[in-house]
Amino acid sequence: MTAGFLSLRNVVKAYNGSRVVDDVSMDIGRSEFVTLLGGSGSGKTTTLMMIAGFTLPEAGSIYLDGQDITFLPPSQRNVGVVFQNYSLFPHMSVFENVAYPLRVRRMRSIEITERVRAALDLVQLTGYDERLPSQLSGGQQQRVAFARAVVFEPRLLLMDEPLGALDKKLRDHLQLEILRFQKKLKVAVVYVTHDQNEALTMSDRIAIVHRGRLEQVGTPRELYHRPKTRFVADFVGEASFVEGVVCEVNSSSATLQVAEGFIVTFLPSTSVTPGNVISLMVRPEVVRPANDLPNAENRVTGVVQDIVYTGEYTKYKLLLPGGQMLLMKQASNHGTIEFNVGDAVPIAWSVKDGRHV
Amino acid sequence: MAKTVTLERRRDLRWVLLLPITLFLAVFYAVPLLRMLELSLFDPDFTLKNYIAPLTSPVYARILWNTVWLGIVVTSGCLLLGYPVAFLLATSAARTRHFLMIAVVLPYFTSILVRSYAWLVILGRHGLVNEALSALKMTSQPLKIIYNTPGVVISMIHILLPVMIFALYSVMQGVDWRLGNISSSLGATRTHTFFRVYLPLSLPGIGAGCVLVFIFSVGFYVTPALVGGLQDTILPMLIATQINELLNWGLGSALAIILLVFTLVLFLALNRVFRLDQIWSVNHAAAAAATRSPPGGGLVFRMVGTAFSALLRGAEAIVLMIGSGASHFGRIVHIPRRTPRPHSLEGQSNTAFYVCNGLILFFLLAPIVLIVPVSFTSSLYLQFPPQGFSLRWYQELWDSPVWLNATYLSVRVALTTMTLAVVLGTLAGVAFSRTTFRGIGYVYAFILTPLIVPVIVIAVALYALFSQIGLIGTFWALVLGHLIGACPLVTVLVTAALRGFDLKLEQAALSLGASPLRAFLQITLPITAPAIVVAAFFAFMYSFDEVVIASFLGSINAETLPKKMWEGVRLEIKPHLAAISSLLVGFTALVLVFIELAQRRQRSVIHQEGGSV
Repeated sequence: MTAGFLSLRNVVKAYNGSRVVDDVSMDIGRSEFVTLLGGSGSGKTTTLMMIAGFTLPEAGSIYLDGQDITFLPPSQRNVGVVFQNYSLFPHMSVFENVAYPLRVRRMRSIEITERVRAALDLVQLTGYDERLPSQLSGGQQQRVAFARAVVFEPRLLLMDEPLGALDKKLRDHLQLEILRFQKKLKVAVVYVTHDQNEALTMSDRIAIVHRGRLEQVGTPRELYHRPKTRFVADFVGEASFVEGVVCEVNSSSATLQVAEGFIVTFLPSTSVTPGNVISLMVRPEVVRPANDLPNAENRVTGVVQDIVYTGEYTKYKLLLPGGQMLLMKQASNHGTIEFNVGDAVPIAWSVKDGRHV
Repeated sequence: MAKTVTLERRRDLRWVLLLPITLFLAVFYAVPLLRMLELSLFDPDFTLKNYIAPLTSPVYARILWNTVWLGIVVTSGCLLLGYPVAFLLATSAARTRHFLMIAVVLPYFTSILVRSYAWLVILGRHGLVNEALSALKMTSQPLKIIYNTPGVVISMIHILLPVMIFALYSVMQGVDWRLGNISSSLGATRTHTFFRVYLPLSLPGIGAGCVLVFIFSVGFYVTPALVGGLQDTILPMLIATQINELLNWGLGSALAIILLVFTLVLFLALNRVFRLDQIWSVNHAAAAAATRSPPGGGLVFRMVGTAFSALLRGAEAIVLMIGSGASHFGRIVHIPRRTPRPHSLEGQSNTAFYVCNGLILFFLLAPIVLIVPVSFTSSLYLQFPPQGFSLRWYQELWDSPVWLNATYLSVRVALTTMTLAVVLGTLAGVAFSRTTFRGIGYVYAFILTPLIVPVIVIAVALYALFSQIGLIGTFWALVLGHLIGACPLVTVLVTAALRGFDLKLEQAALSLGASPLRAFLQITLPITAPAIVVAAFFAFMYSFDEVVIASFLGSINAETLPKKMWEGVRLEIKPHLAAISSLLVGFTALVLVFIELAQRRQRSVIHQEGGSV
């Protein structure tokens, strides 16, 4: 009946008639780290809340380890949750916060002490037992929240934008920490975020959520290199889109006429026939000055319209013949040629780097 | 198995929590009011004579006019004195504001009887003002400034001024005062900035404060009765006379109904002008539900609904404002300071402005402080300056079983009222903050109505009911009477606190395995406890100070402290009243300090919420 450790089957949630979560089905493995990635209002948090049991679906079922948990009260699910603002109990010490799920389960106090100590050791907060949450930094509070959510050995760990309130440096650090904890505990994680870098860094698989539906589910590499829809291509990483009319299609390659005398070669997907108007996705980092890619088939001259310098790289917005725009990203290596606004730059990209979406 | 759980979870039974408070108010508040309506209309057959007489006679017209006129004068006075103080509160630094707030809150929580008595002491024949004037040889004989209109006006302004200040402040604290800086940076003079920027922005507060003070002053009974003369008779006093002295139930009830309708109509009219329903939006959900007309409901219904919910929201806002003011509980009852204050306001310090404020705050505090030295006089009469020093009046209180019994009864009644109100109000608060159903807004509105119904109306209605069932003069009569007013106070404060509570904390507890009840008891309740303590304090003080219901429902055998004082002030003004007043002021101050300290501790715990975001 169920394929994964956690299975969502045609789950639907509607508020006032509009479907916030629309027929979502997915399977998650026993110690897999899966991220729900989407913009605000996409339905990713609602999905998470249904897995946690705080919201009930209108239709569909949720199975955990073979058990139907769709309508099970949250307190009986044995699922840990980490919230965005940590939601530590402000009137309890760090120790009491972490001990809470164990006390609820009526464990013996010796065992509670042992387990809490072990959990605090894991998140490197040994010795912080008696502090109140208000006496901790944001990062430390996050670690306590994590310890509290795993100390009772939940079957599944849910995290709702847990790093959203932290600054970038700390966020980058804690991403790796959380991964380390997760690998060590071998617990399945469903992680919600709107930050694509976070999703790419942490996940075994990512599910792109858009308007309550799953746009695409796949590994970070699949999503980045083989997006199925324009939305996914746009949402994960940066992309330019070149639109044109398909000219020839054969088994190994196809051509696209973008403008008069400007023809691009690409690897066709099944659904392309001559005469179709389609878009090709081109990632900015695959576009190079023509001299760097002597063997690339797609060659054209673009005029620099705009330059964004970010330190590690420089991004050029180029005007192509026919009026469309293309982004080119150049790492700030020693000796990289810099261009100026108005320069006509011969550029190139290889056939395999243009993807029909 | 899963399916049964579904049903259980989907059928939200928490509306049951509203039953106790609703049933109580239906039986002891709604039914008596209806009974009173019946009394006014049947004698024993249906008749309108009880309405025709007062509405046609010039004597009654005169009294009605007195009532309105007094309201207008008192309201204007409060606005004049309240505006600068509210402005100062809204624009000063947190520490100063804290200190100033105490100067407003202490008088507010001091018994109305004590404050009225203080004015008798100050304005009396041998009072402070007259002694000072004659010592300065400015008058040859004492001025008559008590038992007449000026006396009533002065003491009523003093008593209602805090309400005006809270109403003004509730709007002013939301104003972005930096707009004033922008105005001056654009070249406007200070006068110009005030009239074109500050005044228009605070206009809603002015409307709100005036409406509330006016409504309260036309229903006021204690102060005009104590400080006024015969020519100052207003409607509430007339009602009391009809019922208490002339035993004219029909007319008394009719007058009470007239006062009630008059108050409500007045509010509807004022709401049309000031749009109060748009100023206060404390409890959006409930208020919105209250204004939502049922299918088929016409425009009239909707208009009345809007005005009515505005009225209640106004009263609610005041309770919350005072609650947060009394305790600086912004975080708990969720009235956060929304805007930063202007940077350069200190730079523009205006001596006249500060002197004005100093005088107004002196006016607020002086009468209360003045009571203390008076209580240590050794003379038999109230005199200025107090003659000698002695503890004889305190000794007399201590030796008097009558006063001790009254105090004991008051404490018992107040503690019982407080306990019951906290239980009923907290249950209701849980329902209002955690569940919803068709018509929940109406239930909320109903529970809040005692906040604005003149207390004399409630007292008369209960008197009629309790005398029939032989409850007059009993402990429970007093408790039930006080519970009517205490319930909405607790409900408003606890509902707001629970609505402001971060539900994620409860969800966290659930996900960690706690049952809903356990999560509520171990997480929600401890964190909202400070608000419940404040609510309990409100309920206690309300009952402990309440005199109108206590004197209607009490008897020789059941005299509360306020009732005893009330009679003391009316019959013989001796210094032992000053002694008891001093004790009451001291008690109020102590409780406020205690709450303040308790909250300081709590704040350090709760601080996380604001600190991390």
